Amino acid sequence: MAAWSTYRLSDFLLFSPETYFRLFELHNETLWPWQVAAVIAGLAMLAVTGQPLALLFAGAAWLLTAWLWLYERYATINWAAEYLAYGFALQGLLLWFFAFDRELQPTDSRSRAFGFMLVVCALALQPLLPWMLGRPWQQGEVFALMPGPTVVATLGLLLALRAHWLLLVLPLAWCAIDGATLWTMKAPAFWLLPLAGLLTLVLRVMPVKPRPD
Amino acid sequence: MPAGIPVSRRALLGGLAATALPFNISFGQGAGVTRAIPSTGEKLPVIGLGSWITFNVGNDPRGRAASIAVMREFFNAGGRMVDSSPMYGSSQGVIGEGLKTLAAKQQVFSAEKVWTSSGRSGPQQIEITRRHWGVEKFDLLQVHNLLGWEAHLETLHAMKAEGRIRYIGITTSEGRRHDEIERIMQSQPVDFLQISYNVLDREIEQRILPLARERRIGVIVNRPFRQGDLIDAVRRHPLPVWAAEIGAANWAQLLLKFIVAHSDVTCVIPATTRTQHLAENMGAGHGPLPDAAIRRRIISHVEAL
Ligand SMILES: NC(=O)c1ccc[n+]([C@@H]2O[C@H](COP(=O)([O-])OP(=O)(O)OC[C@H]3O[C@@H](n4cnc5c(N)ncnc54)[C@H](OP(=O)(O)O)[C@@H]3O)[C@@H](O)[C@H]2O)c1
Repeated sequence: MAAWSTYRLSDFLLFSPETYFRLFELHNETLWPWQVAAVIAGLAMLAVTGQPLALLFAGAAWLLTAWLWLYERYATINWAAEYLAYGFALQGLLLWFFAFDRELQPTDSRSRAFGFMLVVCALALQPLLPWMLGRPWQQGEVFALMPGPTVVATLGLLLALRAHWLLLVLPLAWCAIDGATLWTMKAPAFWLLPLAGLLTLVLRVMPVKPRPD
Repeated sequence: MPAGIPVSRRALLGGLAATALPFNISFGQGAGVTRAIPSTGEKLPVIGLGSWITFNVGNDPRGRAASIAVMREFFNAGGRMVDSSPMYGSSQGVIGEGLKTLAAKQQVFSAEKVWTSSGRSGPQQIEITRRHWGVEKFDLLQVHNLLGWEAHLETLHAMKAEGRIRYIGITTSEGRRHDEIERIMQSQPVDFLQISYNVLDREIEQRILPLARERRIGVIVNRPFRQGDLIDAVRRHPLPVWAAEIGAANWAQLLLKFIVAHSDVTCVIPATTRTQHLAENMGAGHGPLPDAAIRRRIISHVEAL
C-alpha cells in the first residue's frame, strides 16, 4: 500500500473542468423533460420539510442520482464513480429507513428556518449557478438528478428534523469530495457545498435554544 | 517541417555543428528527428503523445471528435508513440476509436500500463485494456507508478517471452520514487523507464539518466510542461530571440527541444486537447536541437522568468 500514499489529490483528477461541466450538459440533454418532474417533486418535498415524509422524497432522489448520474454518467470519466454510486444508493436506503423512525422530531425554529433555506437554495439557486458563473445554463444541476442540489436539500431536511446522526455522514462526505474536486479544478464556488455542510454541522452540534412559549 | 520555423541553411549547419548530437539520433527524410530504442535499435520519433486528462472525455461526441482530431494531426505529422493507462478513465477507449477511425493501428507505437496493486488481476486488466485499444498486442507495457511492480514485471516478462508484447517498462512521475526506480533499473531487465523531466525538474540528470544509458534503458519523458503549469507560466513572456537558432518558433518547441536534446532521452509525450498545440509540439521534433551551451541558456532564462 505504500505506493498509494505517494499520490496527491490532483493525481485523482482524471478530467478537465470542460469535460466535467460538459457532462452536466449532456445529462440534462439526455434526461429532458424529466427535470420538470424533478422540480415538481422538489417543491412537494419543500412543502413537507420538517416532516418525516420529506425523507422519502430525499431517499428517492439519492437513489436516482446514484443510478442516473454516478453509475450511468459520471462513471464514463471517473472509474471511482461506481463506488460513489453504491454510497449514494446506501444513503437513499438509509433515508427511507429512518423516515419511519418513531423518534423523529422537528428541530428548533432556527434550525428549521436554516433547513428550509437550504432546500430553497438547492431547488432554486443551484440550477442557476452555471449561468451565474458565466457557463452555459444547460449545465445547471437539478435536484434528484444530480448530486449537488440533492445533497444540499438533504442537509436542509436533516436540519429541520432531528434525524439520526448517521444520515449526515455521507452527505457531509460528499460536501468534502465535491469541494476537493472543484478546488483541484480551480473552479469558482468550490466552497459552496463545504459551506453548506459546515453550516449544517455547526447548527446540529449547537445546543438547542429552549422555545419561548 | 510543418510547424518548425525554417532556419537558414547556414544557421542550420552552424547549429548542427555546434550541437553535440547524440550518437543515436537521426533526421529522416522530411520526417522528424528519431531516436533509437537502446535495447533493440528500433527508431522512434522523439515526440509522442500522452493522454492523461486530455482524452478522458467519456461518451461526449464533441470531446471524442476533438481527441480524434488531435490524433489525426499526430499521425499525419509522423507521430508514433501514444501513451495511456487504465488509470486514465475513458482515454483508452477514445484512443481505440481514434486508431480505428484513422486506420492507424500499423503506425501507432502503443505504450500502455498495468495499474493495480494485485499481481493476479494484472493479466485481466491488460486484456481489458487491449480490447479498448482494439489492437492485437501492445508494443510497450509499463508498470504504472511502480504499483505492484514485482508481480507485474513477472507477468510482463512472460508476455514478452511469448511475443505478446515487445517492450517492458516502469513509470513514475514522483521525485520521491527515484531511489526505488534506480534499484529496479539496476536489478531488472527493462526496456523503458518513463519519468518526469523538464527545464525546471532536472533531478534525473544526476543519476537516473546516466544509469539508463549504462543499462541501455530507453527514457520516455512525461509531464514536459508540468501538466500545463510550466508552459502557462512562460507563455506570458516573449520568446527569446535566440530560440530561432534552434528552430523553436514558440515556447512549446523551446521546452520540448530542451528535453529531447538530452542524448539519453528516447522520446517525450506531451498531452493536448488542441490540434494547434499538437502542431506546435510536433514541430519540436524537427530542425536543430540545442547543444549544451544553449540548453544552459534555456535553463537560466526560464529560471529567471
Ligand atoms: N506515472 C505515469 O505513468 C505518468 C505520470 C504523468 C504523466 N504521464 C504521461 O505523460 C503524459 C504527459 O504528461 P501530462 O499530461 O501530465 O502533462 P504535460 O504533457 O506536461 O501537460 C499537459 C498540458 O499541457 C498543455 N499543452 C500541451 N501542449 C501545449 C502547447 N503547445 N501550448 C500550450 N499548452 C500546451 C495541455 O493543454 P491543452 O489541452 O490546452 O493543449 C495540457 O493541459 C500524460 O498525458 C501521460 O500519458 C504518465
